[in-house]
Amino acid sequence: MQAFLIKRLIQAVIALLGVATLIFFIQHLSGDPTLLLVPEGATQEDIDALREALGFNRPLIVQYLSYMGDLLTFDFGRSIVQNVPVMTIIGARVPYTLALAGGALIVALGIGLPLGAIMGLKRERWYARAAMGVALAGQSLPTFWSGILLILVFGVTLGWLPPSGARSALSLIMPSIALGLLTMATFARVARTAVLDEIGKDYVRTARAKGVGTRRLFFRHLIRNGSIPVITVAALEISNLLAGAVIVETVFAWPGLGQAAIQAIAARDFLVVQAIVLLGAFVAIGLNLLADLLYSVVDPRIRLERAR
Amino acid sequence: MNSFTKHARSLALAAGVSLFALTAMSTDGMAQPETLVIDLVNEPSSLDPHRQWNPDSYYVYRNIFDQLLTRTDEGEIVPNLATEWTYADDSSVIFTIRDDVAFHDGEMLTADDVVYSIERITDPDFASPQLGQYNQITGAEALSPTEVRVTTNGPYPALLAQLVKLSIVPQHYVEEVGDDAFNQSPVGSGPYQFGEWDRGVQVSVERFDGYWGEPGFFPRAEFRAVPDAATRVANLLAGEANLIVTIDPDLALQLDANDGVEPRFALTERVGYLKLNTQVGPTADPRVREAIAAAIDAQLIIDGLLGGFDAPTSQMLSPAHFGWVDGIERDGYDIDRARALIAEVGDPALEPMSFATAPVFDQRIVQALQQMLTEAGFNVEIEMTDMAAYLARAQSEADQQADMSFGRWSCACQDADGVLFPLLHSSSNWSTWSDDEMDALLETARGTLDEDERMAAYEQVHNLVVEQVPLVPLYQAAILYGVDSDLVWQPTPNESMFLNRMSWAD
Repeated sequence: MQAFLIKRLIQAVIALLGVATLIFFIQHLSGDPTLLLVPEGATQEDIDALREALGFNRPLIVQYLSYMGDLLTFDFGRSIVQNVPVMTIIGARVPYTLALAGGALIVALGIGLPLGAIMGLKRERWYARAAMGVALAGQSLPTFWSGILLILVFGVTLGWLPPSGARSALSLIMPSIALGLLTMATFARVARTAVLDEIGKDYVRTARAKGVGTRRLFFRHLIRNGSIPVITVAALEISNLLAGAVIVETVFAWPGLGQAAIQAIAARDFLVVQAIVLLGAFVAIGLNLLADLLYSVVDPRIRLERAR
Repeated sequence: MNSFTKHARSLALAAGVSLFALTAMSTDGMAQPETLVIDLVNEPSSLDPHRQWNPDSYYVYRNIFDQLLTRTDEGEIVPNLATEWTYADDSSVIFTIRDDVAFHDGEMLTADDVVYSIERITDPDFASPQLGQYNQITGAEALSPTEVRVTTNGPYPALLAQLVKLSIVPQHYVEEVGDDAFNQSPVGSGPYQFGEWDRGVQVSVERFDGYWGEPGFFPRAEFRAVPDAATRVANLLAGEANLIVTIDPDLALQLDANDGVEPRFALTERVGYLKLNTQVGPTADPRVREAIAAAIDAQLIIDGLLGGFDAPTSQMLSPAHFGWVDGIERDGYDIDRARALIAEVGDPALEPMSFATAPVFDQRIVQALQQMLTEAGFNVEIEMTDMAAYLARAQSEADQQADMSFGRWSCACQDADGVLFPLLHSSSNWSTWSDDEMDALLETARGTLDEDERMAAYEQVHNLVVEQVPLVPLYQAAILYGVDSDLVWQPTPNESMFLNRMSWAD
């Protein structure tokens, strides 16, 4: 277990350094933000002076080494557009992103898993087929469209919920639904497959022969045995939720990391973009590791030592 | 955003707006709120007025700070912190400063604060992005607690227009707390004082009761970050916001259909134009440039794509600029003439031409221009890059530049010098135009304080542009806002948003 963890952690650090290098060069190869900062009509001398003050006139390799050096001491630098430490910007946004991802996950799991279980257990019934259609429709609607419809119906016409922003807990409901619908169908399909896989196995037949009812069978056996694929998919889908949040956060004016990323990319606020990308990579790597650890908890047959 | 998304969203919005109209909700009879809520696109980049100058920042901080001079809604430069000013000589002006102005922390504003502010924003080490607007200022000194002398690098006619934007900050406070703390919790002398900055969500300001001038009507105002235009409209319809910025003509027309809200607009000093490469490629031939100008129907673009809000222009300025000359005309749309000119030039005119643009511009306009030019017989290829790359290319050597590029220019100073000099003088990094007569006229207009002489020079500049077409001015851009109909407020060409010029109608 320990050897496994150490190996995975070393892999994670290498991956993060690789991501940092990649995002640094991708951004810098397309030019620097000086021209976006100066007013129209600025003379070449003004532009050169600002470029020098911001340090973008140094050789790229020097900028890279300086950036990586700072990174190793957990110094993420300052935003050149907002003139505050990058961590101040990220720190203000992370709670909102976590709240939205949590809300969306509740929607996706809370609706998707029961839906999938019903589709697996009662797959011949018409309502099981209809349920899949509903789930797929939720996934297929583009968020910029479904989001604005939600806003107009519940925020404007009915006036039940705040149309946008982050003033109260109520503001979280609509973005969570809009984002959750995107991944709900995935969970439904995985849950359905998992139930179908398990239901054909010997222990189920034995249980049935002993007179175990569907309800007991499902809650005692199927949930636990079917949860491995669900955990795997959940780890991947949380990363997807963070990515999908970009549009949802923009439509609902939800002040999360996705919105901050869009603004920073448009303004070429390099260090902010780099920090957000690194955080995203960190989360994705961390979640996968967590999923691996959870396997052994759910299913003791999986031995981490043997995982390669 | 591609046109499909745009249309899908317009449809969604239209459906929602009809729903809204059906329910016929009315806000009449409800008490008018004491807090004014303004939806911006993004949160301010900074509240230190000497840092960023983007609209989302200055909409907020120009209410917290005062400037030496200001503009009336009609655009006239009038006293603000400075009660009067006199030219000591061609390159120095003495300003008399009010003696009754208090900062929000109670300290009095003096000439030293004015000097400090000018020195701070022009200090190269401070690296203000706004430095380019004040680089003609060579010094500032306090002659007495109420007198400041500002010196410039020779006669500088646009000085007053530039000082309208220079906010005066409190020296004692900035030095005491440092630049970072000042940016996050600014203290000024304006009609509103900083309240709270909920990062990513909103900035609130509160009315300053010790203000020396016209007090604000609203006790409190909130500036919120709402990146999506359709969401801003929804907030306005729901009564959650009272004023929203930056909507497109389609949304404006939809607001028109609802009670209690309306679109308002101003023609800004921003001019949409097509810049032509006068040194390299087909456009180096003046007949090709003339044909391009003749092939473009600017009025059609305005009516068909811009909702009719914008105004056509034949000079690279708006009436809001000093230097605007009434009666400058260029030959209008004439496709037959364009075709005749192309036939005269022959094959070189049919070479493929690159057309540079960036996502921040309205791509429908770029595509319409391409189509108009294609109809005349040109072969135009649109080349889209992100804004930073577009700007880098627009300022490179002529052989690196595109054959033509679409742009929207604003010097934010309402003076022709800030537009015509960078775009047309041979020394400028923005210009491919190199003409001794043009250079001499632009230098004359920049180098004298005599307004008549300046106007005469600019008139000749406009005529040269019409004759030789180094660029094609297309339209004076409108800015569209959505407002609660009860809000008394008139948008202005310089895109200001002064809270103490707003109130509820009785």
